Amino acid sequence: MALSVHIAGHLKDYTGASVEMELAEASDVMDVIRQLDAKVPGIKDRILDEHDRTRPYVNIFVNEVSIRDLQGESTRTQDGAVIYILPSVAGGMTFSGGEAP
Amino acid sequence: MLGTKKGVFVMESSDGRRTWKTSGPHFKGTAVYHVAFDPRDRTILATVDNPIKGPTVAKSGDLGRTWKEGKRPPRFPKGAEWSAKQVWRIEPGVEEEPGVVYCGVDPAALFKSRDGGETWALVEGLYNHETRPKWNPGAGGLCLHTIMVDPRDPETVLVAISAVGVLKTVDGGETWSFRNENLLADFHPVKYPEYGQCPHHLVRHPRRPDVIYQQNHCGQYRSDDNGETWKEMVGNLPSRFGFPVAVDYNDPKRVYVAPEVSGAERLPPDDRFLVWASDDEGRRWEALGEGLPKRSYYTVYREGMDTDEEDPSGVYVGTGTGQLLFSRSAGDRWTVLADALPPIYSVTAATA
Repeated sequence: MALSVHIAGHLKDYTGASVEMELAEASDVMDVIRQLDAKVPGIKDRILDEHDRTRPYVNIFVNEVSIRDLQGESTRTQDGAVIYILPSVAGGMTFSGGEAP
Repeated sequence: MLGTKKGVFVMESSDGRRTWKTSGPHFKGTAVYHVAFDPRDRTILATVDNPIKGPTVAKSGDLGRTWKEGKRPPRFPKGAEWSAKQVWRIEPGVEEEPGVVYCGVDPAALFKSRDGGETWALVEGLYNHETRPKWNPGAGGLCLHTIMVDPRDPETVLVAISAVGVLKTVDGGETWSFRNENLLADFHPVKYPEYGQCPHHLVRHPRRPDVIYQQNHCGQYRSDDNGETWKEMVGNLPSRFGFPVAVDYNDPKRVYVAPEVSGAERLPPDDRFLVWASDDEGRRWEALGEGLPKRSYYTVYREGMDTDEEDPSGVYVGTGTGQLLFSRSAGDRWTVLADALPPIYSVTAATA
C-alpha cells in the first residue's frame, strides 16, 4: 500500500499541475522529502532549511497530525499514510519581522 | 526594473524614454529587494524572498517576460550555525568570468554562483572572518547588501554589511579585511571603530572604477582609491543620514543622494522630499526640487535610486509609497513616471 503526499500553496509552483503524489514506501518524513526532491529537484530546499528543519511557515501533517506534535522530520510514515505539506496561514505583520531594505 | 514589496515590474522604452511599456508584477505578492541586469548575457536577475519557500534567486532571459528560479537557492552548508533568511543583493560578475554571480543575504554572508545563479556556494573566507561572532544586526537586520566586483580584477571584491561596515578581499574571497577608516559611527562608544559602522549603500563610478561613493548611517563619503580610504563629503547637505546614492554616467564628478532626518523620524528634512546633487564629488550640494511637491514625505530605500547611460542622464527614484520619480535631464526637473505601485525597494536602469 502506498503513501500519498498532498502539496498546496506556493510549493505547487514546483510540482506543476501535480499536487498529489504517490510514493511506494518511505520510512519517515525526511525520507518522504528526499524522495520528493528526487522527483522534483529543488523542492527540499523550499520545505526544509539548510539544517533539515521544516521551514518556519511550512506545516507537514501525517494522517492529519502536525509533525511538530509528533517526532518532527523523524516521524515514521507507515503504509497508507497521508501526508500534507501546507503553508501556514498568517497575517498582520511581515513574516521576517525585519524592516524593509 | 523595479523590485517591490509585491514583485518585479519591468518598464521598457525604445523611443528615447518618451513612452514606456510596463510588465508585472512578476512573482506576484513576493518581496523583491533587488533586481540586476547582467550585460554579459542580457539576463535580468532578481532576489525573490518568499516567506514560505525561503529566499532564492530567479532569472529572465527575455527582459522579464518569463522567469525561472535557480535549481538550488543560496543556503548555508550543513553544520553552519546560520540559516538564510533573506536575499538582499544580486550582483553579476565581470566579463572575464562568465557565469559568476554573487548574492548577499541576511544573516550577513556572501554566496557565489559559477553557473549563472543555478547553484550557490558560501564564500567561506568571509563567513569565517575572526570578527563574525561579534557582528550585531542593525534595524534592517544583519544584511550583506552591497557587492562590488572590481571590473579590472575579479579577485578584488568589496562588500558592505549593515552595522558591521565595509570589507574587501583581494584574493578572490579567501581573506577579508575592513575598510572603515575615517567612517563615523556616532552611535558607537568608539566614534571611529575598526568595524561596527553602518554603510547603507555604495556605488562605483562605471567610468572611474577607483571612485566609490558611500551613503552611510552617519554621513556621505567618497573613496578615490577603490575603497581603501574614505573622505567625508557631507558639505551643505541638510542631513548626514539617508539610504540611496547614485552616480551620473556622463559626468563622473556628479553624484546624487536623498537625505533623511535620522533617528526615529526617517523622513525628508523640512517636510519636503528633495534629491541633492553635487557636481564636484560632494564638496558642494544643490537641491533638485523642480517638479516635486512643496510638501512631501517620500522616503527612498537603499537600492531605490539609479541613473541611466543616456545623454542627458536620466535619474530614477522609487519611493517607499510606490511612486517612480523620473528626471530625463540629470535632475533638473522631475515627473512621476509611475504611481500607485507597491513600495519600491530597488530601481535599476540598464540599456539592453
